Amino acid sequence: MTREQTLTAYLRQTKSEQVSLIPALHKAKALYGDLTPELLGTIAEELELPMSRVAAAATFYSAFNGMDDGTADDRYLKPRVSSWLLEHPTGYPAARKYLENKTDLSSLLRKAGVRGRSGSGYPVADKWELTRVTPADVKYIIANGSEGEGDTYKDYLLMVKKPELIIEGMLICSLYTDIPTGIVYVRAEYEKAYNVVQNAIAEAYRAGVLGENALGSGKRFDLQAVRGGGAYVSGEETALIAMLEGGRSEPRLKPPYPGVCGLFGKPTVINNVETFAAVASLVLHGADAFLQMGTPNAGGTKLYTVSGAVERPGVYELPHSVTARQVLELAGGKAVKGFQIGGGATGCFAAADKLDVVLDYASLREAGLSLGTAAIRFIGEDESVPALAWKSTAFLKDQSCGVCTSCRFGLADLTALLEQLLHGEGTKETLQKAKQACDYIGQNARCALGQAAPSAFRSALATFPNEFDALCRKEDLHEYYQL
Amino acid sequence: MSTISCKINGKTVQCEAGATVLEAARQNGIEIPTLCYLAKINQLGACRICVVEIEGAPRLMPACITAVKDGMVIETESETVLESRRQSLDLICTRHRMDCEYCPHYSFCELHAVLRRLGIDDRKYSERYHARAADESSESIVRDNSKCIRCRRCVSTCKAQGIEAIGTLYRGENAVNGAILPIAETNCIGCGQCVKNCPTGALFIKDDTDRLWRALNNHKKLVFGIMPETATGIARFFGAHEPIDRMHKLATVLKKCGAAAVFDLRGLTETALSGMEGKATICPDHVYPECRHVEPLDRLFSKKAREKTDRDVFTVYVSGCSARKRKPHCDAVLTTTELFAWIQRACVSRFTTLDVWEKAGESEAERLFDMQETKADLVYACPDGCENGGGQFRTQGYQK
Repeated sequence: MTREQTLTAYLRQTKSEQVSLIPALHKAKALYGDLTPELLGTIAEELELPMSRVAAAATFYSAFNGMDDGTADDRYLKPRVSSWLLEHPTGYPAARKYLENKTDLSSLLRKAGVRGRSGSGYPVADKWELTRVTPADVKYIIANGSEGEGDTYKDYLLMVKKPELIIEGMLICSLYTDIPTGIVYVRAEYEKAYNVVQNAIAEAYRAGVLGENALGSGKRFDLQAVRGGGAYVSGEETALIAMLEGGRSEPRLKPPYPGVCGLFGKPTVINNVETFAAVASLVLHGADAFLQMGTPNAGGTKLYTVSGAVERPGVYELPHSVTARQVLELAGGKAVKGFQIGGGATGCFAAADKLDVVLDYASLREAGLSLGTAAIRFIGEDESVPALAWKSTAFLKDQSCGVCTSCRFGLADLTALLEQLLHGEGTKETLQKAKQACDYIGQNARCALGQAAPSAFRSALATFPNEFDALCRKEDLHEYYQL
Repeated sequence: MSTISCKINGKTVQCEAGATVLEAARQNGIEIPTLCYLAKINQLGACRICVVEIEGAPRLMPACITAVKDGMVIETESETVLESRRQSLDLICTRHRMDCEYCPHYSFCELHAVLRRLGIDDRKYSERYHARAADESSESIVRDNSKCIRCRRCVSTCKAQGIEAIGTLYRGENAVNGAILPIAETNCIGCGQCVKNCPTGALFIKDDTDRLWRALNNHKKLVFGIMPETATGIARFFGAHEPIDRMHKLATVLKKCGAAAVFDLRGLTETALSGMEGKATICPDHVYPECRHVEPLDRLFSKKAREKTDRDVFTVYVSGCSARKRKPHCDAVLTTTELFAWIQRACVSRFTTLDVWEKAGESEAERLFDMQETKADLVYACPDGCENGGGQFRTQGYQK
């Protein structure tokens, strides 16, 4: 078959699928390498979509428009410390236990107080309950494996090493909420994870875990893996839904929440892949053990991605009651002056005085920080905090979807101001303007990306003001020559 | 419809349940500036100009899409709000090629209007607009993205028209509105509704008035055919209420500008439709290709005009339609806005238009076609017909 025939055949078959445009663009990219307007026209014609819609999506995503949003890092595929999740037995023991004991999942989730592992820490019980009771003819479950936040590879590890655990958690969710259709969404750059998850799903169908009479439950559960187009903002739940619907990952206004109006307007449970894994783990070990493993407000184990000034960077599965200092010791850290917690894009900077804070939601919030994606990047004594703050901001600037003025242009200008400082061309006034730009963006942002965007620079400036002052050009020559 | 109450700027007001803050304010005579907002068609909260302070909300909220809750306390002109609006406007302007003296949209620019309202008088950042070549491939519409403020009204309008020829491309700072191919290679029909709704001069109707100058310079006789919506549109600026008065005054002005003859084209549409029943359209052939079309209106005009005057006159068909420029059947096809601009240039060089308009009144426009009944059921590409064509002034058309 020629390339043309292969593509046409694929498009004709994909056309009847609900999620068709992004997979079609991936196929065309794989066959041709370059997505020309002619190719986009072919896709538009075969899928019966307006050309403008196909172009709008194709130019948005880095897998198709040539932008660089980061890559997978296979060094993180060897976990440093494994526990409940990474050592979860195969054979779907939690799902079997759930069916055998007729577990009251609602009570279990509430007693354990388990929270979503995406970054916002929203209670799972509330989200699943809302979707379960919202009346609709069709509903969906989406496992969010977009992991766009910098310095974070826990979901990559989970998807490559424990895909059955994700499937198991989703199956439990399906049985509890009565939702027979699920999607595992894998970040574009995680090609290996996509292939592994696809194979795991195929295997689960063969073993009767998925499909008609899933795991002997008498209910149906269908699952598919979808590979993303490539954009940090598609990690935001409504933006992810927009992508699956064949559009640009532009966040939608909430309310309505996905639990009421999600994919194709239907009630949708959408949680991080680790969340589903954590629920399966909870069902297996029980609420008491879960709470004992962590803290009163954060039970169970947590996957922490550790990087920066340490000898052993990687993913550490630790109890939620661990402190940053304990993590530092485990990872072989030396002299550090602080850390960035929550991820390389929106994580907050903290000085060494915060090393003894417990890494759970409440303790971090009290310390003026946030758990985020549980990524901790330790900062060595000789490293430049302003450079790290700039890196976070510059990354977010490229990831802005482009809808609102404050994020689209505000982040560009904030990044430019930080660059001025780093190049030694900035003054105290530049720093002041940057602070103002930060406040403006936070005040006017239309979605979570813009709201979180000021975090890195703002916390860096508050915690390491001297490093920023040192970058400012001395306007006063007396001060400069220390006369 | 139940009513709820809220407090705006310290005053307790009533509004319909389900109204947005913007609607509630407008219902109570309080004006909040907007830029990207277009009722029912473009409600995104993109520009951030309409942000307001709401008690209890963690950040500023866009009035155009935030629903009012009973008892809400809203501030629309606080210092924080004004400061934020100015900063948003500043960011928008630094990416906009300020070309006001030459811009075809000068008097109608909504960006300009918001600037004046908010009293911006200095620039904080250097100009960072993207110098882009304009897309002039279409006979009807020109897109100049160096002036685009990313409001997306054009994209939403094209979608509301059922055409969807354009979309938003790329991401973040690089996001632009348009198509990846030149407009002429898309399914754009040239209806010009996007032009009508564009708040700046990023979109404008292609200007063909230089043909008139060339014709005059070559000693050609200019013969105009004026469709009723053109006379109505132009009369809005000078003031004339009766349809026949509008036509005569316009004819007088055009003759002073150098026209040899001016024809009143009321009755042309009905004549073209004579004998037709059921669904039909007077839109140009490329619009609604599956629908029944009449003979091109500009050709009907041109033929009759030449019969009445001379075989080698220079025929100029003027209407509210921008799509008709794609396949002209006379020497020049102009829109209302182009004719208005040409009159300004022609008259300014000799005398003021308003002066001529006020003094005019003799029967200067000749009827070419008889009024008659039509049994046809007309379909229009432009909402509510030619009165709202792409070539009409921007105050008509979709509600802002």
